[in-house]
Amino acid sequence: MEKDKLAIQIEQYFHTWYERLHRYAFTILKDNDDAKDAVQAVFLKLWEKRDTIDEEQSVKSYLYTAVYNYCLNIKRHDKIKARYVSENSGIASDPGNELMGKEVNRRIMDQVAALSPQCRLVFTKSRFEGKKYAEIAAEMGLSVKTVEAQMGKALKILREKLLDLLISLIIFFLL
Amino acid sequence: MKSPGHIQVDDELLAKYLSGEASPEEAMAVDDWADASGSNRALFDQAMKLWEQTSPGNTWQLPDKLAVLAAIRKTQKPVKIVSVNRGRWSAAAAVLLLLTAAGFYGLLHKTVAPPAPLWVTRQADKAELHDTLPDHSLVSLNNSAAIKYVSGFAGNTRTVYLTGNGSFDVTSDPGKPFIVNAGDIAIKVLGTVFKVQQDSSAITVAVTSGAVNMYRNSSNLTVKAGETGIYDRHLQQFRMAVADSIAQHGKSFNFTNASLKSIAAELEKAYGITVVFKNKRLETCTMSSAFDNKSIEFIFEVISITLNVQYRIEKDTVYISGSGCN
Repeated sequence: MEKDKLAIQIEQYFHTWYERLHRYAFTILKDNDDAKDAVQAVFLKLWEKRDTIDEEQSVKSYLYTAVYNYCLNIKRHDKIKARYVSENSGIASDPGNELMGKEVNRRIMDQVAALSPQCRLVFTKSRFEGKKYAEIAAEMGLSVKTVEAQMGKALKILREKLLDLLISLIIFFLL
Repeated sequence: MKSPGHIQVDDELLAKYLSGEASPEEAMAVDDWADASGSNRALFDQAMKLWEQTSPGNTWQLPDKLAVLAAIRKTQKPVKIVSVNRGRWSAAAAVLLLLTAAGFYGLLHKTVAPPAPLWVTRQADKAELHDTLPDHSLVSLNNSAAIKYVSGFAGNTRTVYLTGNGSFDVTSDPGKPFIVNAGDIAIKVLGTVFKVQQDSSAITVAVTSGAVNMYRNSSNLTVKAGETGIYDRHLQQFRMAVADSIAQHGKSFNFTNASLKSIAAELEKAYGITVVFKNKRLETCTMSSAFDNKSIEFIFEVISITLNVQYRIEKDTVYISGSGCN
């Protein structure tokens, strides 16, 4: 039946793009359930609109754009940031691994402290205070482009300095 | 660290993506880049781990995909018909026919019962099937689509029955019209470029150049360049629609925190449509998005999702309704 073929095609899109879209939605919303709802809503729309959308490239771009717009819309409505900041203060640590968490924190904080002053401040405001790039730029009198560059710099330095730690954390997570 | 999308993926973009600041294009570039090699993926995972470890909030966890899929299946509406839009334009004499037909095989057998001497059936497997028809027209079929025609195109017409999705590149032969049977209508090619879209409620034919004739029994509609003909399946009637709604070229928009009013004004100019706000408050809604050669339906769909408004396209007028976006 055609119906089944079409269902298969849409489900193929789902299997291909779901993980990417959910992760993308999560980066914007910082909440797994909100991200799940966002991507689900977008896929339901795709079911309804699949007669006007076609070709894999266009479907892909539609999905990313729709997820992006949906997330921004949710953010506008909810006070996600307020929740994000109030619920969580300090760096996350796995309660089951207090000791390991402490050691990880110490190593990260040492390296963050070693960043250049502007880079450290930008990174701290972004990561620990959950501020948007635009907010950080406004607060510090910088351009958003500079904030982007400083964040990139921080990532590069921390990634290199903490490589062994990050790799062991990834392996630990897999175990 | 080149990505397929020509967006440079470096630490700056990775940080931007992980911080939730990436545009859809940038997010796509990051994902494509991460998938491109094992070393890219390792780098991505390390960056993500660093972000997790410095996050004051939650860490990303992929939900149970099967449970999500089950939820989507449950809420989905009855399946409609997918249409395909595949650009392919060969010689000037050629006619490019983009067509989709689905789910009407049985119906075709009943209503159009030609004295079939010898039928040729071609069906695509999972991969796309390219085939040359007896008149040297080309056909591409995908997703298990099938065509059926009389061997050697014997007879006065070149008639093709199509199920599933396919595109045709038809050679010109005025003495022997090329007819595509799709659903319960037929489309006669009069030397033109056009595109057919079908869903459960309508079959839409947008003509870029030349003309086609859509017909069913005694009723018919000739659709010329720049026009769009619609066959309403429920009313079983033909009517004209907004031509520009499907065929569009060179229309790029980049809206940054733009009001819906200003977005509408640009779209009105570009697509020759009229946008009517049923609720004036919606004019002040703002959004950011980029559209590159998208159909008017696509654009309003994105607007609809983003701002939680409803839209309805009627001829060349788009009606926007909703209770407000803020």
